[in-house]
Amino acid sequence: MSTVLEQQIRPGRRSYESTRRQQIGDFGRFLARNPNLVWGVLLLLALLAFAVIGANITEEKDAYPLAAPPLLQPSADYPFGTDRLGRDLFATIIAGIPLTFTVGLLAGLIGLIIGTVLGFISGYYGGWIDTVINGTVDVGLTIPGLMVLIILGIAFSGRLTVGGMALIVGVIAWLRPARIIRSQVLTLRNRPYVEVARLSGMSGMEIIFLELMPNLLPFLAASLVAAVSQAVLASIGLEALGLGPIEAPTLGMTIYWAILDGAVINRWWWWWLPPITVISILFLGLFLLSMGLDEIANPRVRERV
Amino acid sequence: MSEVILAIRDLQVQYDTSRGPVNAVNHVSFDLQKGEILGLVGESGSGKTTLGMALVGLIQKPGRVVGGEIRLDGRNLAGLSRHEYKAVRLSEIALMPQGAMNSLNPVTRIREQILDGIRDHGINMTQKEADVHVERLLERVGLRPEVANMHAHELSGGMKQRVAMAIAISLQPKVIIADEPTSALDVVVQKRVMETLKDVQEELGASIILIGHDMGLMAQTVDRLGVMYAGRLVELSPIQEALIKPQHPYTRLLIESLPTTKGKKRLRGIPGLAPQLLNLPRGCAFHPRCPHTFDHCTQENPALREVITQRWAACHLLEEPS
Amino acid sequence: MSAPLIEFRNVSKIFGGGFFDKNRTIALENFSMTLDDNPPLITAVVGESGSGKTTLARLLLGLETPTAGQVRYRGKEIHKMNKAEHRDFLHNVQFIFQDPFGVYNPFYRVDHVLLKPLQKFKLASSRRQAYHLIEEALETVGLRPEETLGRYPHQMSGGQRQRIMVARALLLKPKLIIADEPVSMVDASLRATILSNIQRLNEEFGISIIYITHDLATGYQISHNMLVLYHGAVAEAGAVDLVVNEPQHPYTQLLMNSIPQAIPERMWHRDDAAPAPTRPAADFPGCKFTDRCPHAMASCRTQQPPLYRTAPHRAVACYLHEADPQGNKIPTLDTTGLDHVFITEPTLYES
Repeated sequence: MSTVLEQQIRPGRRSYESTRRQQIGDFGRFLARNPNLVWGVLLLLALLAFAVIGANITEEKDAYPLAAPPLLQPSADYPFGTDRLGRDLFATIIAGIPLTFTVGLLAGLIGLIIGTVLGFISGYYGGWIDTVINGTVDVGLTIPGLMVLIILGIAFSGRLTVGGMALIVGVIAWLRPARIIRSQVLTLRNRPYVEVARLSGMSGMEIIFLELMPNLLPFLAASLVAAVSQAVLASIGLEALGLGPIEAPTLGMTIYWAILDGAVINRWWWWWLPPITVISILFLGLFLLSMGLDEIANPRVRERV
Repeated sequence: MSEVILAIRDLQVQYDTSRGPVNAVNHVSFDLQKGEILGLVGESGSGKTTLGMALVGLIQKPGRVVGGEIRLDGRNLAGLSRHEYKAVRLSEIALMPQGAMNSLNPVTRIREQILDGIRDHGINMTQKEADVHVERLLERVGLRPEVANMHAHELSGGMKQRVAMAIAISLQPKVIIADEPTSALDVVVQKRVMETLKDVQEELGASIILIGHDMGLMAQTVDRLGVMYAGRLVELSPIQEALIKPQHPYTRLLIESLPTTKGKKRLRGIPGLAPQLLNLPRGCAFHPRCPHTFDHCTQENPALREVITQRWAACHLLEEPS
Repeated sequence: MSAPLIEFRNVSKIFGGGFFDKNRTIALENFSMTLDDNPPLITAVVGESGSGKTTLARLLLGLETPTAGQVRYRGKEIHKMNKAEHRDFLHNVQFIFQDPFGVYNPFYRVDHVLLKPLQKFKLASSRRQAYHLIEEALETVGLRPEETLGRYPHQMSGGQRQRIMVARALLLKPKLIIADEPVSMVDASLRATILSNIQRLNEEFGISIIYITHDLATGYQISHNMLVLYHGAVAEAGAVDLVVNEPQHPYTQLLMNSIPQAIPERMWHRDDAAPAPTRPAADFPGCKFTDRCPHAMASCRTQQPPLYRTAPHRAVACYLHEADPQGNKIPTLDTTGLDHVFITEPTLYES
């Protein structure tokens, strides 16, 4: 008779355990109940696919000035036309998408990591450290983020890289995750299983990482998406104001140049329409994704068999 | 003198789960006499709460009543629409729900909550009439008239339960379904509340179905006892007879496992696990745990039969050899 | 002479304010008790909501700190222990909580709650050995390892989950288990099984048990000694047979008369309703049961009665027992001597 340990190594089928088939079925049903998640992911993947395929058919240098004759309307050679400085706008957009994704993801991650660590510490340990962190978050959230970013953008103007953008945006991106994580930790802190963990000899850090964090993964994911959305919006906003990395062909910078050169007034629609369309799709995707993750995070909506 | 006020025939309530349909109440039939208190005892998955909810028409998705009759004073309620059931609920058959203490509205005064149900049935009263009615109801359930102006959070657990009682009797129903009315209360308060319930019932002439899992409480309160297991009714007897000479093995084991203060003895529970409704054993649902199982038990599910006058049980042991 | 297993010395626990705040709640008042494990016995702490029984459990587990007084394990105050002592304490004082669901982290399989303490207290040298110990413990409480391990908590019934917690307590081979209402959220048919398992932990494995409950009947069935709490103070204490079958405190008598039992000898009697329970104000100096007591006297209001030792194995905190029928004064017990009325030998069962 094999011991249970052997069964762990070579799991056999136990009477009530679900089979592979049932698990796939369960997953499929779960997806069917959560169209937002599905569409969100699909949209984002579509954008990425567009960028990847596009990268293979364009050359990066075409995203920079003097690559082509200026102000050409969209044609077979130049599907999105060209701008006033002769950039091939198709190449520009293709180059810009991954840059925007990068800034967003980087800033979102920075914000999430800082926010999560601080949220956990302040929520679990309480006391003066909570007062300090939470107070900072409270005050920070009332300060208009864009204003802070503009100030920072001006301070670093001209010397900014994509990485630098991410860091700057990260400065404000950690506030909201910290608050959300803290309130979740406060809810979970007094659960019986946390007391059981304490009585089993686990330390505070162990409890945070092993007991609390796994249960907050949906919240972390939702917070990441929110942070990324906020970061993308902030970076595009900064760039559109001209405070971004001047040399880089990001979506926001493209908009900046378009505004600066009067693209709307001059009816050069092929200049401002593509970046705005791409940004809209990006945001729609992020929005649907966060709605989908919200459904998972909210236990009332989530159904157990 | 016995008159049947509620006749339940072959009632079946099904729940749709992602692994298939499950019969929470499986072909249950019994009669409720006028003025009697019938206890329904059972454990998790027995179907007793589902049965109670079905009687007041409150089964919601993913559950639904798929068969049977619920005849209240001759009229079948099982086919009624949501709208029609609303007219019957509270005025003819009322519910004291489980955890009634937590279902009181925290924002409105007690007075309003009691009058709510009455008004819903289209009964209009003047301010004065309403006040008097509320006061009388509160008095009936042992509460001071001042309670009418209080809010739920100002009341103790026992008081809240009495308010739920007042709401349940506000339209003088014929049948009251009391679903674990005292499970969250301390033992002394429980006794008082149950005594009040009995007094109220006597005054009204109503019948009560008392749903619970505490056999001791049943022993003190009910006239007849129904025992449910895996969605079926397996025994129905007058209470004293059920306690002294239980017919069904499950009832017997249940009674034997009860701790008393009469003398110390070795505590012995019922071996095995509670049945999984999704995966019921073949034949009698109790057979894997029954000390008297024999072949027939694994083949056929025993029907509820009147094995002695006025005593029903569903067990192959009690059947005459064919 | 080693220090006793646990010791409560003049412990008070007050919530919501200091010693002089009118709105404070005195959960436990000047409570003293000593428990030794020679031999290990089962002590029942009986009380209703607000009695202080859960506070007592939490103080004993170190989850709360006393507002006054000390809680000691083997002579050392729990909150003043160093890391090694505290670890030893956590290992040797185990628990079974009331809610069989909340104690499981829903993210993990049930194995987690069994493996973690083995790992933290270094009770197994390898994963294989750990599982070996776990399987043994599960089998002792009547569970089949192959049907239990590897599952998630939501895949099991409340009764099974609670039995796993009993197995966990046994697994760690503690000196003391505090069982706080271990069966009140479990189906009736399983209660007797779980309680008899707990009894086995005491009889076969030599573990002392403090069984906290509101149910006098189960307390009676499995314990040797019993104490009855009312609003933070001890009403009655002693050998369980005396306390349950010859209750002397009016509160214990009220409790006994109110328990619904399923035998004809114990049917409810209508009594003149003692008014609904309310908690007396925090600065009320007298006996807390006064307002509900059918025998209340003037002296009851002015001062909390001491514990009168009416028999070698029982004590009652009630002025009714100030003197015996002949008028002789009955000796009082110092509050710190509560445990002197406990029996120290397990009694034999009627079959």
